[in-house]
Amino acid sequence: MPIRVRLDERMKAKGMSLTELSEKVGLTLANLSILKTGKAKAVRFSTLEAICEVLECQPGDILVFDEK
Amino acid sequence: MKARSRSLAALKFIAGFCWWGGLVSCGGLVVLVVLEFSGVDTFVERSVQGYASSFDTSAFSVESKDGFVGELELEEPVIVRVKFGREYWDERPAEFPIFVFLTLGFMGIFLAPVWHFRKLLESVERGEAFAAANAKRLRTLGSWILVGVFWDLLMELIVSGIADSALRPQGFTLNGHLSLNGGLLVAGLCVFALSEVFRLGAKMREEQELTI
Repeated sequence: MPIRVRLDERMKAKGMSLTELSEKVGLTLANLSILKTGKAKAVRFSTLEAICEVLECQPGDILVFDEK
Repeated sequence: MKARSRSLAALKFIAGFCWWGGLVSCGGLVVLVVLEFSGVDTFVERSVQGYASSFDTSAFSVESKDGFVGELELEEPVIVRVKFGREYWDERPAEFPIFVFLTLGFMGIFLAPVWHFRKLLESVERGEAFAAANAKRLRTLGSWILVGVFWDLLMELIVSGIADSALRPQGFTLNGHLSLNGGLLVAGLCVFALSEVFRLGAKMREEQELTI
């Protein structure tokens, strides 16, 4: 899929674990894992907003278009 | 919500009735076949069935209770069954296996879609209607219905062919008969269309589930 989720890098930069992020964002660990592994088909604006708020970043920092 | 579950229960009951009824009939048929092959005289009446037309209706008459004479017309082709004694069939040992094959085939073609229909209803009851497996089930169901349509056609062809070659009718003619069961054909195609709807539904459900 050309859209890649770069959640790993942002989490590492903030020193946050997946469990911690799931608690702060209000998503289940399973759903966050789907998002992190790139299995998600779509992301809601509200989810993106919550993640950006917790990780203090822009949507473009998390989602990138990968042509390869 | 309650009405929907009632209709589902009714559908399950009908499907279950068809399934178990069909199985019992199949079992009964197998027992009869075994008895017939072992020479036991069963109560099954063997007959040659054919499709008749051009009836000589001059021997028939009909009149109203107050004496008005009516003209008789038959809607042709008329199904005629000619019954023969045991000796007739003993001289034609090849015809009974054909009958058994056609009837068991018909039962199988009837039972296969019923089985798929039951599985479909079970998954709907579990709340998993839009699943890829159900789309496949509906495709299989549609295929079986279409096989049934053509099996029916084959049966008509064989039955009318046997009657045509084996009997010498007086006062009417026997002829080959082929008629496509239009209703069943449309039903089969509708089930195919429904399978596409289910396939799309399953895809949408998957997307919905994977929307974070």
